Amino acid sequence: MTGPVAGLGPLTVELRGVVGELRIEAVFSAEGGETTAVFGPSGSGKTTVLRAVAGLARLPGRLLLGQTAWQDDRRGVFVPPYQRKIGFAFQEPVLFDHLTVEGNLRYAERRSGAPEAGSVPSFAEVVDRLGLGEHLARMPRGLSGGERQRVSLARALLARPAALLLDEPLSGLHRTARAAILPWLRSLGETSGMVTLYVSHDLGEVVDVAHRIAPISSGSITGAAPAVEAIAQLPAGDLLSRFETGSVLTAMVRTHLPALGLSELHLGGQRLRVPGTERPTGREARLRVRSRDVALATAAPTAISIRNVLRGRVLEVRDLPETPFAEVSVGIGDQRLGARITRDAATELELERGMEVFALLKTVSFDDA
Amino acid sequence: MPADTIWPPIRLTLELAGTTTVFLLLLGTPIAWWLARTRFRFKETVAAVVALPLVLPPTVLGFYLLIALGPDGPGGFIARLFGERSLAFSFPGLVIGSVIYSLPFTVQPIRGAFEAIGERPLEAAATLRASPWDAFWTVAVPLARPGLIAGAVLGFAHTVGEFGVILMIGGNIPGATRVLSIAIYDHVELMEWSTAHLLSGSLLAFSFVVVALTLSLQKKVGGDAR
Repeated sequence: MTGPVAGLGPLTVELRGVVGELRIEAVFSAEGGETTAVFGPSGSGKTTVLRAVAGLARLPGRLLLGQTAWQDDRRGVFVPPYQRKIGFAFQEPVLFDHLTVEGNLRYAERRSGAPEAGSVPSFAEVVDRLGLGEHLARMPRGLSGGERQRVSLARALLARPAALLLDEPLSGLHRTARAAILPWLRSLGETSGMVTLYVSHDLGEVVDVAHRIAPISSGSITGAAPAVEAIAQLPAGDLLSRFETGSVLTAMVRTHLPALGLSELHLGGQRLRVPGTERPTGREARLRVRSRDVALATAAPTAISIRNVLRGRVLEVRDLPETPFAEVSVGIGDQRLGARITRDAATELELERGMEVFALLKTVSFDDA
Repeated sequence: MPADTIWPPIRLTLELAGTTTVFLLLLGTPIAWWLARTRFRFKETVAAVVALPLVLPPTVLGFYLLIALGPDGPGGFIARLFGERSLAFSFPGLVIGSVIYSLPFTVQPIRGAFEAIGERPLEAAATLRASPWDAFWTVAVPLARPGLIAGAVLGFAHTVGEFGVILMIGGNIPGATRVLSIAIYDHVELMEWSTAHLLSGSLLAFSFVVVALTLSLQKKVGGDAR
């Protein structure tokens, strides 16, 4: 097997410019082997930044992949898109209408510079995972929106990119179809070592796919943080009002309790029971907890209906301005859980950094449920 | 009605139209591509120059071409390199004249087809590491195929029907510049009605077949893709 393309380094983005009404300032870097989500509401400049990274649009500044400069205005360097090792999926898929689905995929593969045999992912794997087997001989014009997006994503992957640039690539797919593709995409980045930039305004999607999140708001990206941290720290202003805040926890599936319809998981030595028994035991699973489903207690609660109680320490208490709420970050082992409680409660419990608390999880779900 | 008065003009006409069509595509396609994609401020001025033969009386165009191709023009200079005196009244001269005269008929449909493709498929090709040259041949040309076919057919048919320009720069030399439309004119002048009938009828049938073929071909291309 041929491994990842050599010399994949971080993708360093330093772009500043004005496009129409929007002032873009994108300064962040995305690591090889990781998926970095560029996350923000529509109209925040996500697509513009992605197109500039691809070289399809120009914003003043600097772009580096590892040591290779794709763009450096000070040195007069601008590598045209076709000489950058990218794969790009447009939000509105652009397929070649004169070629079959297979023709579209082979078009990418032939120009990828990767050997036909042994490249990862293989043609067969991509076709299989994206469910394109029965569509290979069809012409693009007959495809549905979701099918077109899957062809477009497959084609971007078969370009065997060093940087995979995806602009809401699965927005036309059903939630279940998406949930099957996203973890695969995430692991594909890990095994190939490529940089993946995943543009999305859907928090659920971002949680499923991203190692890191680079929030964008009114054209401004100031950095990428590990997903769990970034989600916990999403600002409470207008960006947040559109989304639920929540946390993602990683836990080990220990046993299934089919009679109860639950799985038992261990998280840093503590036990959790979560609805659903499909996850294989002995493997890690990602859990999602909404901040407003977490209550806090300063003593171990007894005789209550909530089954999942995690012991942790307060890391931070943040007042959410112009709301009656506070967001409390609780460290559980080396993981971080967000709880939204009223400021009144925070005051009464005298919560402060380092204090031991019990987090009561009203609802926990598997990440892809 | 001897065969040697009928066939030479037909053969010459087909040769001229065929050669002209090849040059029309070679010249017209890049011009159409440039017109469809450039942001050059005066591109419509260039487009107007290309389209000029649409409105210019053929005799006017023919007159200027005659001067340009004659012994004292650039055409004469080129002709002397090949040991000739002038490009006027020669087959190469006819081809040059025909290409200029039919250019708008080829450029218009091809330009329209290139414009209809839009920027996006070429961007997609670029993200798949296709160079502009590669993308032109593997994406733009196949997608613009109906326009290219239309451009070729219209250029060919227009050249077959040409009269004024050829009369001005080619005269009426049997076997060299005496094309079909001029032969018909000759036969009418000489009151050889039956020959004129035969040639005109053939041209009519030919034109109909060409147009019908083009239309059905375009519809089929469109039908495949949709």
